[in-house]
Amino acid sequence: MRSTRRAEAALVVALSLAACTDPHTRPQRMGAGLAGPRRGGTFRFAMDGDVGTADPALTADVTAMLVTRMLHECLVDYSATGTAEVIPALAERWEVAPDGRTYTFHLRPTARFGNGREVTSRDFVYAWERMLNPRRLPSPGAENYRLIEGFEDFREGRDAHLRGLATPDARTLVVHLSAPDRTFLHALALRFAAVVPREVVEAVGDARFGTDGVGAGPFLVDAWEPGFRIALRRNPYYWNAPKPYVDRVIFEVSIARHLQFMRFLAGELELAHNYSLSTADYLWIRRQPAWRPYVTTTPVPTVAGFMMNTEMRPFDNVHVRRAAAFAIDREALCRARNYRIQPAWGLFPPASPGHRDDLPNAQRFDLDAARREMRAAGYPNGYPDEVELWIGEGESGLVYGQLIQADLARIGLRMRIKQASGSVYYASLGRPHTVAMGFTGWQMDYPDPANFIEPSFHSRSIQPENSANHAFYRNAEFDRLVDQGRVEPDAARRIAIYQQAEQILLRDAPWAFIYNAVELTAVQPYVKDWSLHPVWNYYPGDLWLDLPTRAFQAARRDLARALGPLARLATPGVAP
Amino acid sequence: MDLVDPRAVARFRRNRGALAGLVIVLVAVVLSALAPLLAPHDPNTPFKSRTLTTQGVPIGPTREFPLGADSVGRCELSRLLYGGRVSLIVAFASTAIVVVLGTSVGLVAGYFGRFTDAALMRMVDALMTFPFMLTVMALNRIVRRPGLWVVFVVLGALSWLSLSRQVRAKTLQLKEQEFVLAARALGASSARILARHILPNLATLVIVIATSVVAQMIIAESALSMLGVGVVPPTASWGSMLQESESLTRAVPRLTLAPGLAILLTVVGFNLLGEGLRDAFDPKG
Repeated sequence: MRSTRRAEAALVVALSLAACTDPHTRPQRMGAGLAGPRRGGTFRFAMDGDVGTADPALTADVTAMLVTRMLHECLVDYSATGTAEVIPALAERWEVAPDGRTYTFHLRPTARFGNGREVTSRDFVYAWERMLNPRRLPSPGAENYRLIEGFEDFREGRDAHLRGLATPDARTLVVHLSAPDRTFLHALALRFAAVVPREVVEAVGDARFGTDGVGAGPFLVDAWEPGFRIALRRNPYYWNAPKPYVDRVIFEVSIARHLQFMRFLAGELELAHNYSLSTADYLWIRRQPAWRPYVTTTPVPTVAGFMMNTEMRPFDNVHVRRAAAFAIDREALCRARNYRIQPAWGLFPPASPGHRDDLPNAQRFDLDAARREMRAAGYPNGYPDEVELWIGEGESGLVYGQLIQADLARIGLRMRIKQASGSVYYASLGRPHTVAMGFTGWQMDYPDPANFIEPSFHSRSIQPENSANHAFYRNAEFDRLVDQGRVEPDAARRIAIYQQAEQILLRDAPWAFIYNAVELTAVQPYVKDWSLHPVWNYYPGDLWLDLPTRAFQAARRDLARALGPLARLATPGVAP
Repeated sequence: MDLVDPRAVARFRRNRGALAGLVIVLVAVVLSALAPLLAPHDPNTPFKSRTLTTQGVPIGPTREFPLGADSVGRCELSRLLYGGRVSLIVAFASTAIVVVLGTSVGLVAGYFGRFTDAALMRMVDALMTFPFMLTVMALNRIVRRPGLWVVFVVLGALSWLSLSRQVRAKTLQLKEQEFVLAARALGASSARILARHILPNLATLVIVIATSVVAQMIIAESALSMLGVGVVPPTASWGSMLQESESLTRAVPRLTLAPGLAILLTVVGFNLLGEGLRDAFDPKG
């Protein structure tokens, strides 16, 4: 009796221990071993946020941009590798006039919308005028196209049409610029400039086009269930056949981080990304040998730092800003974040044009230099008052905030941590005389230095509300260099100009640059040709699934059925 | 008048649960009070590469860091001791507010009755409609300079309602008793009757309730800090320690267990003590 009870107790303990250990130390299903890209299958992934619309004119946040990329197509696109060069898409080729002000695009004969209709140059004129008309849609991307001739006249309603666009025939689009713009092709690959079919827009209306519309992209909306999931299917008319290879994409929204990872391990999602992994999950999957081949880490072109408001005490003093920039131990920050980030000493992240490994005057951790700067600022014994250090809600903000607070205390800057929720936080950052020092960052929309520098540091970006220049930084010499960079035709000279501008930022220190992000993704073993897209992140338009075909699965089932009796005979001790 | 009935003391001493509660409470109070002497390190100093492995994982217990390090690389034991200090200070301070507000409102309402009673009790009814946690979070968010005092003022200001009801009920009973009638017949003023005759008879009730309020306040403070609206970082409290360990729980469960057990034990201690006191003072229930 007693021993039975003991055995029962042991069983209970064993079962509870088993329940505590993770069962999925290896993938649920491996690849079938098929050769070459082939079509078929469903690609499923999830996010904790939601997407309200995929109207190309309106989407500006990273997640919505990914959905918009899957549904819509532009004249040009970003390459999936390297630093995302501009490559042909709906335009098979283009010419740029020697003065850099006239672009002639030639559309592909195979360019089709999802409803089968041919894409014409007039569709582009319609789409761009729809996006740029402020009385119709408040597009956040309009400023990217301000150098198209007649931009202002059209925006203010003086012209009914955009003067700079011409359509000599259905397959030719000519764009005239008022000044040469080195970033124009990049801007044309942003989905703001995607082509839309007029008849569909007019049938469903502007408000519903984002969810119910049809584009010329690789996928079409199958079912858009708000707050639940967005189901897409392959566009049979996509110009770049045989891509996309997957038949369907299921994008689940509003799924909590931990749940995403559990479902990935259970084989219910094809992709787990940075925002699926808590610190514990991140450490765990990196320790699993069976998962190692399917986990990749990719540096992403993001720079994050702490802005210092140049209009607020004590950061109106350049020496205090420089002292703070020197006092932050970036290596310790990266360690505390398990090296999911890499230290940054300057503006341009690795894998972005302009980055230098041997950056002069880099903002490295140097306590002596920091103390020298505090003396130069006139605070040899520290700044007398407490200063607010703003961070967002959430775990990573707390880590950065508390470590930086401890670092700055060592040079006599006493910081008081102020936490604010997302919307309050960003509204406050963009308001003058509100945030003395706060966490900020920039993920590039397109891989060009101008995209990094202008919104964050140009004095033109200072606004009374929603200022993108969070440090309220002004420097005429810097502005002049940046404006020169936008129009400079020679690529190498342009980069040199921007690097010169970066030196001014290091000298004036409106930000303490802190880290560049590294993105960890894990895919199921049967996901082939997967890589993190430099602009479109988790874009699934290039990958294929190495899954057995239906015929193959049926054959295997038949074989198993035929071999069943044999297998039983071969197993000793089991009566048939 | 003797406040403590010797028979009550005897009953308390026979109650093993109550004694255990008393011991737990005393240990928690002493450890927290002596935190600056007992803590091996400053609780807010990150020790960086000394306490975080090359993977960024906090180290386990060592001789220098007896409970290991937390997710930012600070000494876990020091934070636990200082965190207990914060948790207990907040709990005692907010309970003091509860006792002062609850007793005086209940006393005045019960003794004077009529319009005063109606007005005060309707105010209590109105305050009771506020969802406790949401109100505390909202108040804590809108103050310009959040800090420890905000947490206990807000907690105290919203928690005296049920105490005032019970004090009022007891006062209604007491004011009809012969000794109160006698005092009034001898010409004693209302203030004298309240202070010398009714208040002493309320003491046991208030002490018993206050003890369990302390336990509730420890939980409330932990919940607030865990939700990120309690104490301001880098101040340690048991709740903020829970919050900061959340994403590492599966990898380093020790970081969640330590403050979790501390909260559990202390709350159990105060509840045992409260129940023991009630049984001792009021054996009829």
